[in-house]
Amino acid sequence: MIVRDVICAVLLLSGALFCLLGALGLVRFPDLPTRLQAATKPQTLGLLLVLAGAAVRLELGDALALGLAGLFQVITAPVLAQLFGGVAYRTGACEPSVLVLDELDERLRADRR
Amino acid sequence: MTVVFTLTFGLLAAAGLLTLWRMLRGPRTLDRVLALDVLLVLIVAGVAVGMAASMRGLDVVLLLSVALLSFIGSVSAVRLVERWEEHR
Amino acid sequence: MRSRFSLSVFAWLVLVWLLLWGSADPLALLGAVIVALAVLLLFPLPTRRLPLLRPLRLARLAGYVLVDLVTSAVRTSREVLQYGGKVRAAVVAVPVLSDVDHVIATSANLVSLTPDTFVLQIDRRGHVFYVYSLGVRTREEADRAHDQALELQVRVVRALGPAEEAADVHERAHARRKSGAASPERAPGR
Repeated sequence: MIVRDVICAVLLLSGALFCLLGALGLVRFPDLPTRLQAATKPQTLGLLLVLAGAAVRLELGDALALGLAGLFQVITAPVLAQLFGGVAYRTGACEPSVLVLDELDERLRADRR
Repeated sequence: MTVVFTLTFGLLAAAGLLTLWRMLRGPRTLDRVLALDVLLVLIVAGVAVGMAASMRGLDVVLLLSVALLSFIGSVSAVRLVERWEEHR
Repeated sequence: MRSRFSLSVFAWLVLVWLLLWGSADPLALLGAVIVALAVLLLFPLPTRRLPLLRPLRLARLAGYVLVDLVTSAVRTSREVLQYGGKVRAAVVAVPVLSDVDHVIATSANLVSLTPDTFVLQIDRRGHVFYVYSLGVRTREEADRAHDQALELQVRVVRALGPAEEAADVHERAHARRKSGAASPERAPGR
């Protein structure tokens, strides 16, 4: 019981902490693609940790459903990232000063020539 | 354990406030959509913590539907924004 | 490609439905079968020959992705705390190591899920991913991001790709590596 509670506590708190760091990135980062990184990476890990922490305390059936929610997040996060990223790049939401190197832009320029 | 749950809720709530700030601030529609998506992830996490606190699985359906709907909503919103920008 | 009924997808759909209900009583099972059949008949997927199942490599890929998810979340968090508004990034061109749609899609998704990166665009004909990579400040770091994306692809191809691609993918990836190479330009022969 004690062991289970400790595992649960560690998972929940670290997960919530990653969620908070992701949200902080959402506020601090300068443009859409960088915010997207903050929104996907720490956020996904944070949610997975919280779900795992909650699953520890639940019956098997409900715990499996939480696993399903985690799986949805893992499947959907990259799809969203690519969708957001592509639209952001095409509509000029990238702050040029953020990028130190842009090989896609180099390529597009080369094609136009 | 109560302390742990309260602390977790507190951290998630702080994250939610920061996300809300980004949603109100924008500046682009895409920023708001992204913030909304993050907010829904935080809600899913919050529901999960609530389930752990009560040790009951009553909210499983709620949790899964929010998770799925947030994805569908975000995808549609991004597509819509893309269409706007093209017509501009 | 013609669409055909796929037993594994059917089993997966039934399983998801049962997990959604959180029980396996007869009513839920009946509903699961009906829903799975309806989904498969209404939205047919193009059939694809799954390669031989390689459980060991799949498990290792899953482990690698999990570790990568943790490190990339930690690194992104550090960028948030350390640099905040002064963060830097780069768009790096990475060669695609496979010619099979579902392997490319899986690679792109995993690259987007894990190492501080997401795939901005896929040039299917030119076999190039354009990968947006956070926290890159120098040429060396850009090369490292490039090699990391290659490494992940090697693992995906070895776990999911067709046998003939899996056999030499390591060598092909090695030839394209940048961080050890002397010339910073594109790999020769392109």
